[in-house]
Amino acid sequence: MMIERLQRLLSGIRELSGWRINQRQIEGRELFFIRRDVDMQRSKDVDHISLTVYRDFEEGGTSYRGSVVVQIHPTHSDEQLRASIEQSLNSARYVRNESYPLAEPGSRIVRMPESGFAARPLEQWLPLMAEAVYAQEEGQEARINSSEFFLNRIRARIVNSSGLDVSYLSYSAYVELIVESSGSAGEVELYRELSFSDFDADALGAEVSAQLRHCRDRASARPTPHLKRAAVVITGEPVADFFNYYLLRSAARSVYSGVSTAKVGESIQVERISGESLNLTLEPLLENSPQSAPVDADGFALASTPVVRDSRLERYWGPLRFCHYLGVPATGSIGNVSVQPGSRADEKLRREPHLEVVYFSDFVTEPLTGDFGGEIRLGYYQDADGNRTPVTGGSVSGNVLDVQQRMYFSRQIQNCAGFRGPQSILLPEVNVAGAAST
Amino acid sequence: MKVPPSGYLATIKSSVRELVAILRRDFPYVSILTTDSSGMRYSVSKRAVDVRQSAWCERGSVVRIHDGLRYHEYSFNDLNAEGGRDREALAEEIRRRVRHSAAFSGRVEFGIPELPAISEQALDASWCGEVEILPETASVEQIVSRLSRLKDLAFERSEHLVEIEIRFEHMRVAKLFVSEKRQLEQSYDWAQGYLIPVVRRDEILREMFATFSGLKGVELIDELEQALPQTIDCAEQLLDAGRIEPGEYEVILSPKVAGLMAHESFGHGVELDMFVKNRAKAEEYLGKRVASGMVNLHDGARAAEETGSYWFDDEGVLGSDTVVIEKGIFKAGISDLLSALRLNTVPTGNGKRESFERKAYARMTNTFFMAGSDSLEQMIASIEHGYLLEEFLSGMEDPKNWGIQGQILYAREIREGKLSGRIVSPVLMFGYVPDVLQSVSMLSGQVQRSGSGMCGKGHKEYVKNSSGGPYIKTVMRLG
Repeated sequence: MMIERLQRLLSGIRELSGWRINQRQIEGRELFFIRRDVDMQRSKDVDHISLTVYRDFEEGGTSYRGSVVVQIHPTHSDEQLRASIEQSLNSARYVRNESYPLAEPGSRIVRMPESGFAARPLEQWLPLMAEAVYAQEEGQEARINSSEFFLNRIRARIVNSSGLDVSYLSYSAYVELIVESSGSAGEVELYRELSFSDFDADALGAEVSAQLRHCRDRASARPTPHLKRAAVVITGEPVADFFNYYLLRSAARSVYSGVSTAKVGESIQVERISGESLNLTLEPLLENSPQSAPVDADGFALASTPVVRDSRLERYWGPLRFCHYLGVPATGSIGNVSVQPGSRADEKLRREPHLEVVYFSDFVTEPLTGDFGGEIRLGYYQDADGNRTPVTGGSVSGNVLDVQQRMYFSRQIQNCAGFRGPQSILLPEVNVAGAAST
Repeated sequence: MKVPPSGYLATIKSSVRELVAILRRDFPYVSILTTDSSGMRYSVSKRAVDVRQSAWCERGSVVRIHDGLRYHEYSFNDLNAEGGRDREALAEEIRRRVRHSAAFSGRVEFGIPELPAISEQALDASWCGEVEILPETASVEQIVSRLSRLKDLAFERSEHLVEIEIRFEHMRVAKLFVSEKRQLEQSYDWAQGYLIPVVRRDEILREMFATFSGLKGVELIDELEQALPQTIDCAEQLLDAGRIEPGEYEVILSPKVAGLMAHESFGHGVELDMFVKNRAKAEEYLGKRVASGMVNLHDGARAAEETGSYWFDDEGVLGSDTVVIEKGIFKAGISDLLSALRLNTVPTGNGKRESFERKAYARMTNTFFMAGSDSLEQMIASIEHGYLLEEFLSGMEDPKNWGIQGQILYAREIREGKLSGRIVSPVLMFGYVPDVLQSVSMLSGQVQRSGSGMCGKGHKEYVKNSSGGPYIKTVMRLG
């Protein structure tokens, strides 16, 4: 009972202005395959505890709240714990941050929806996950090269000196999948990672099946033509990354530091939009998302929070500390993003000639500048006659600021890695560099 | 100053040995890796200070067992000398997990290939690193004050600076590996630092990024201090950066970008667990030409002194210096222990775990191109129109198809053999690895390495390593 030991020791330290303990007890199972052969099985039982100590002080008539975060190991003795607390307390004296409050115990209790993973012991799920994945190979012109399956049961608890004591149970599943195929472009592979918090064999199978089909297409893909400037449709997980630009601009921390000049009530996009208006909401409890949590790391109770409505900034979002600095109500740090899909039918989105990219090597949006780009692993080029050809190689690059006035979102939605929103975005004019001849 | 060994590892050493001995009664091979790595991260920005333990900290154990057929692992972090779980009870729990794994494997339609037990030569050794200034000799007040002073200097230097993060992080890595025949212990320090200024002029916002690292202690802060003016000036220059016209160019890779090239182009592609999975195109090129004759590439935990260095890896294999490419010929890959068993090759001491909680994979350590004899001036003078790629943000490997992608923060234009003064940002560099390496035509005379980042296998399993090289002239596609 490390938390109780820590609480007992912390209660005896007079100079302490506050404290917070975060605990994550993780029970995990892992299964690794090379093709259909079991490569290794792993399991773990670990207990991660971090302690934040707060120390209030004044300097030059200004009040400060210093803090230091340290890891506590289950193997620490009382003597080691006491030394760690005292050292942290002394160090916090030199951390000059404006004062801010700790999370208070609330009457509103948000419950985590129970995951289907709770119905069986962890180890029984891994074969089911593996079977759901490998069953998709049948009838496909691509196959699974290797795969890794991870399933964690996480008991989280947050306790602080204001009397807050919250805990919740969550599950985190992760599948890494490499599939391969061969064709006119030679032997090729596609990498994919899937994360979820509930087991849906059909949904998992559909993702794997799509990956196998895409890999087959990559095997016959031609080099991407040098289009210079073209309409580009980005599909899948990179769509979620694209919206990080707006998340940074609306973050209380960015506004406090001066990096963002976004103002509540003003457009966070552009004033005159001929494309889609952005509607972005932060959701603490998103179905099947491992990022879902009823409280943030401070223990602050989370709620669904509209941040951008019809392209106007509705409110800043962020942890208690930075919202306090700005004098705005705190939202807490929320792990899931929901973006309202578009009004256009997906066929209309793809009516004109365009390049649709479904796999990048690594699509990156720099949230600070809005620069985005990535190398194309698989795309489909649709010409003026409507012919759709798989292409590979080359790159896409642009800037959010240049495309946000005329971007369109698909009506079809996706759920992936803490994001619910449009499956695709049409970006009007983006740089497309062609592939090198290989 | 000598880095002291871990006190925790000293107290649990006999318990670990006892647990290995208990489990050896039932299993042909048992090893336990125990880690006790600790350190602090200091971050100072315009209006905030953050002091916390480094995210690289870990303390725990992983036991690896060969049950006569294959390997199992169990990670836990409650092993101590007095309290914690009783050794016999822990051993029984591990046995139960191995039995359960075997039962599970019998129920599903997947193969269970047989692997031989690891055979080790006896070795009992310990190693400690050295740094100029041990982190524990500097107070939090001293470190925060120095970083705060740098922050103030930055704002004095630039009217466009809106934010800067100055970060210093130090880690003490301590590991104990115990098997029936081996007892290895190591303790060493590394440190890394970042200068991340953000500048704004009207609506233009730009971020610069300068990094520092080494098997060093608090002395690393001196390097941040020396580089601060140049970093701020460079951030200001980025405000005038233009966009690149996509196309194929003659380029000069800075040592940092050359390191990215070494890492992404050939490093990942010669990790031998990729050969086991038939995921590496490099396998077809063993003993064949893959680069121009002036290209030499090494990887090894003992090949350099940087953040990828150690004496033994996470599987108890001693670190080495592997010649990966010699005079353009692909000579050898880098290997973890289990991949070497499968391929019947010699492990190179490249078996690394993200932490005691994760599986070991074949991973890079210090990966770098060797120096040539050209000067940077000669290289610039040889280019009619091209770019000097200065600093990167990220990269991604493609071992099967030998593509390379790198996000370059900024590049300097070269016109008629001179730097034109024009900067472009950001730049995406990409290409086909053999084309890029075959096109290498000049290398400068001095290798520089950097180990401030982290390397993933795919999009996970992040570990420390370093990469580098001299300035390298080649041809690449930029976009």
